[in-house]
Amino acid sequence: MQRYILKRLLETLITIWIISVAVFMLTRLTGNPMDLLLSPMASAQDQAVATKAWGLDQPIYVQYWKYAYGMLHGNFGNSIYWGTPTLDIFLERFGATLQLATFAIFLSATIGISVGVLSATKPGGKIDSFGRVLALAGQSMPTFWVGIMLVLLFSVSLRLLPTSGTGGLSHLILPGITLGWYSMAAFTRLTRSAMLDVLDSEYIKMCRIKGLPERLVIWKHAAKNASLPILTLFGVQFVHFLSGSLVTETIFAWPGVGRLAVWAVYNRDYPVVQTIVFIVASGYLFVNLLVDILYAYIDPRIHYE
Amino acid sequence: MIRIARAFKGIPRIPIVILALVVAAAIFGPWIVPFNPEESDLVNQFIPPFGMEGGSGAHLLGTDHLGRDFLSRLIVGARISLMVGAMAVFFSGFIGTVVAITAGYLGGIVDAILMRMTDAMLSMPYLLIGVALAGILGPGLLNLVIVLGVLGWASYARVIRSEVLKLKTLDFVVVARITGCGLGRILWRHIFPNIVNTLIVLATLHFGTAIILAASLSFLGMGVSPPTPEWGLMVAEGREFIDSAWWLVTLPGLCILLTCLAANLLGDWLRQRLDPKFRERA
Repeated sequence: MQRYILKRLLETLITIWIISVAVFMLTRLTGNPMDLLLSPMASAQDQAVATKAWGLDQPIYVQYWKYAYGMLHGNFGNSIYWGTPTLDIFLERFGATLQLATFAIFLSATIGISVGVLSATKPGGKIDSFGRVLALAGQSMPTFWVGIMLVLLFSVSLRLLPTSGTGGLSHLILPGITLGWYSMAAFTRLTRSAMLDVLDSEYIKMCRIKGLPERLVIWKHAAKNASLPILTLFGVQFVHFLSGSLVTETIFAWPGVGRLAVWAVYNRDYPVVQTIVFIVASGYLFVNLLVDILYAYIDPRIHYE
Repeated sequence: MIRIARAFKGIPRIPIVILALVVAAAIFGPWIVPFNPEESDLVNQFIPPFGMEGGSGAHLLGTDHLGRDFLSRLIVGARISLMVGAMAVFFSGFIGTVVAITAGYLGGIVDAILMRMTDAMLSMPYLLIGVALAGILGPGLLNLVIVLGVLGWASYARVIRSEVLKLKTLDFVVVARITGCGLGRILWRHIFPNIVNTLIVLATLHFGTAIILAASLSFLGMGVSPPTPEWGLMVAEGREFIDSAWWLVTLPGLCILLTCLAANLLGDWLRQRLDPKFRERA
């Protein structure tokens, strides 16, 4: 067990290191990062001054070392546009994203898991067909279109909900559905197949034979054991939401990390982009690690070499 | 002939019809469109689709904010979406397969390095990376394909590697090695043919994802640039006029939805047919 945790931790750290290299290389893809950092109008002298100031005249491994050393000390560099630390800018926007992500994950998990369980109890039934359509639609609809269709229906035609911005609960509903739409399909599909597997097992037959009410069999005995893969999906999806949906936040003018990322790419503020990519990817890896470890504790059947 | 007929038995009809229509639009589009899809006609802006009040028989699906015939734009848009999707699938599939076979067959340190890179790739938020890469490379069709190719390879690598791991312990591969087959021959003649099925299924399911991703990048202004009729870009352009011209945002999205739906349904069918796990159950 400890060896397993140690091994996974090591793997995660190596992966994060690779990500740091990839993120570092991101601005150097085109050759000279100055092309991205400065306006094309900059004079040769400005170029030289900026190159020196950014330390770009040093060998690349020295540059990387400085970059990595800074990150280890919580210094992710400064935004080109604002001149303030990128980490502060990230954290400032994170609250809005967290709010939206929390709402979206609970919405999609509640609906997705309920539909999934009900589909599995009566395969081929009405709810199952509904769940199938829901899953297919979720998979095949582009997020940006879902958002715009919701705006068209609920804001433009019915005039029920605001089109964009922040505020009370009413401002959360449309972006929440948009963001959660795809994972609702994922929850439905996964719950259905996990439940079908469990309902097939011997101990469920035993529960039924001994005369437990069907409600208890499904929600207490079966759902509990089907919950492991769903837990993973929950963790993974939540982190995805936290990365700030670029599309959803852009459509609904939500002041979160996603919109910040799109803004930063447009305005070539690459230190900000690098910081967002690095933090989000690392967060994703750590959540995966936590879920894996949690698994080992929850399910005694799992053995790790 | 009988074998071919049997292979396609039970193929879902609706997805095939939709895909055939989209492919036909993609191939013959420029010759069958009634109007030039990129030519503005400012006298005829915002004509609603035929059958609605103010609609005209000349513009069956109406016109957009520059008076361009919307049906023509949708038809020509099929070519771009399909081309981008197919090329992205090819690039991702190629890189992913090479990585998977190398990692899976060679094992050891090579495997460890390649798999950590795959993990790193899978853990990155793909739309964010896509936007960042597209921003650095600049707009354009080729750059869009490169971005999509880079984003997609990791899931191929992960799945196919596990197939390779299983295959390389099987007798026929071991015998091939003992009889002195070269590495290239083993990989190409003995391993590769056995992962083709998996590759086809992954590619079909990836196709829809790639089209959606391409459209999303264009929607965010990081894919193809106007006036190219690309479905995602058309939704973005129509957004401004959502109050008055619903068809500008609805129809291009519907095209993406139908194409992806068809690809996904076909992919599911292929998986059930080609995946031995499903075959045993049936």
